[in-house]
Amino acid sequence: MGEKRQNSRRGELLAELEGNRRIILSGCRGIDLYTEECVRLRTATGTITVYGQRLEMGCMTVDGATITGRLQRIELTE
Amino acid sequence: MRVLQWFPGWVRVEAEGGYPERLLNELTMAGVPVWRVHRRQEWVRFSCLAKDYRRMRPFARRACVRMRTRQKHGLPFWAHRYRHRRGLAVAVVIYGLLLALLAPRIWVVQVAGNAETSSQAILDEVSKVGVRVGAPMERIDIKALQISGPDSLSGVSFITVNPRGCVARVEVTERVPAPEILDLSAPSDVVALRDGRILWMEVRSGQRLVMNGEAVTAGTRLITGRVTSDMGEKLYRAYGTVWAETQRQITVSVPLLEVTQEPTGQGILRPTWTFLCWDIPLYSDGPLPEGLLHRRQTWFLTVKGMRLPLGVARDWYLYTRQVKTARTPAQTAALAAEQLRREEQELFGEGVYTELSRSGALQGDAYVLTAVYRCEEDIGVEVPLDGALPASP
Repeated sequence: MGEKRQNSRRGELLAELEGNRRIILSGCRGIDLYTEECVRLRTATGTITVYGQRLEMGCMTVDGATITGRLQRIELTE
Repeated sequence: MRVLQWFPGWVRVEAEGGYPERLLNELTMAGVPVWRVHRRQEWVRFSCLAKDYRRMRPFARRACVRMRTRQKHGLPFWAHRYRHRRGLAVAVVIYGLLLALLAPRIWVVQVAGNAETSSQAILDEVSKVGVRVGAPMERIDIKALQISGPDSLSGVSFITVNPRGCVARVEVTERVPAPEILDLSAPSDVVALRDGRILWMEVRSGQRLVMNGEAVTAGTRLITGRVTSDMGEKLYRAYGTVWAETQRQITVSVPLLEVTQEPTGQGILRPTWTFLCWDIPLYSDGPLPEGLLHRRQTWFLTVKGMRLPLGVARDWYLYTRQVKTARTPAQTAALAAEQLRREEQELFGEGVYTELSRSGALQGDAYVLTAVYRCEEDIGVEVPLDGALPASP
């Protein structure tokens, strides 16, 4: 738990996956792309792209977001 | 979460065209919370607090997005919708005041567990510690009642109050009386209360003076406490059961012409509205004429068999007139028979009795019915030694 907080404080990406229905992300810097099948978010080290169907963003804050829907693939790029 | 959002109000916004991603980025960077973001083809829908909607317009312009509200929820919109209905607001305020005023008070007082002690005596006692209709429930001093209640109510060994909502339930446990201890120190005799023929006797103390089958008159000494033997005279308390065959007579008289006071149908109405412990008269307090017949009708709200302290009592003070009722001899005889039956039940109850004869005749302006009965009863009554016979019932 303490390590999680430290990572978040440094601005690194932290992702929590709940099955294939929800992913909770913190350490995001903004949205690059948002469609029904793809959500791409900027992070401190690059981007994270979530692919799936009927994707929705449950809650958005300054450094985090919750993506729900039928998640199929998660891709990290630098 | 929904409840917390309902009070400040929230809107469902639809953003179309332009760069919705940029709009969302700027909103989050500006600290505007958005949730339930939903993208379909060219539009994005999201929810935000009502107060943040105006702040979004500059961001929407920069992102070339057209925004419009799809739904409005929450207290500000609800209040705006009903702003012209002042009565509704007044009713809500009155409801809140009544709830705050009446909910902590006692509406019903129930008494349970008493058989010998009267409910009214218990209610009088518990009212001293604050258990009465209309009193605040939290001010009941249960400890004081538990200590003082059994002292004030002689037949009660334990008493307490269980508050439940607006109902104060008074639980009572009555004393189990100790068996009576016979005082054998006072010498006495058992004498006959009325004339009769002895059927059987059970002597528990003293000396028997009469035999079974012997005829006795009222006042005859049946069991004596004065016992003489070789050791000399000794005095005891005499007691026992003396079962005898007796004769009883009942006479009833029913007049042929009866004068009664009957209501004329006109009267004075005095209604009273009862609310909690207050009786509010709905009439002017003028003097009433003499000789009016009083009748009372009450209507109270009830819930699950409990009478609530909310209702109306109507006191009718009726004018009366004298009505003379002339009866035929047959009607009079029937009435006399009915009156005799009631007196039989009152006198004998479930005892053993046999009717020996019945005779009825018109005597002057009344019908007199006389019945003679043979009874079996305990005729023994204890009197102080050499004392007088008590008056026959």
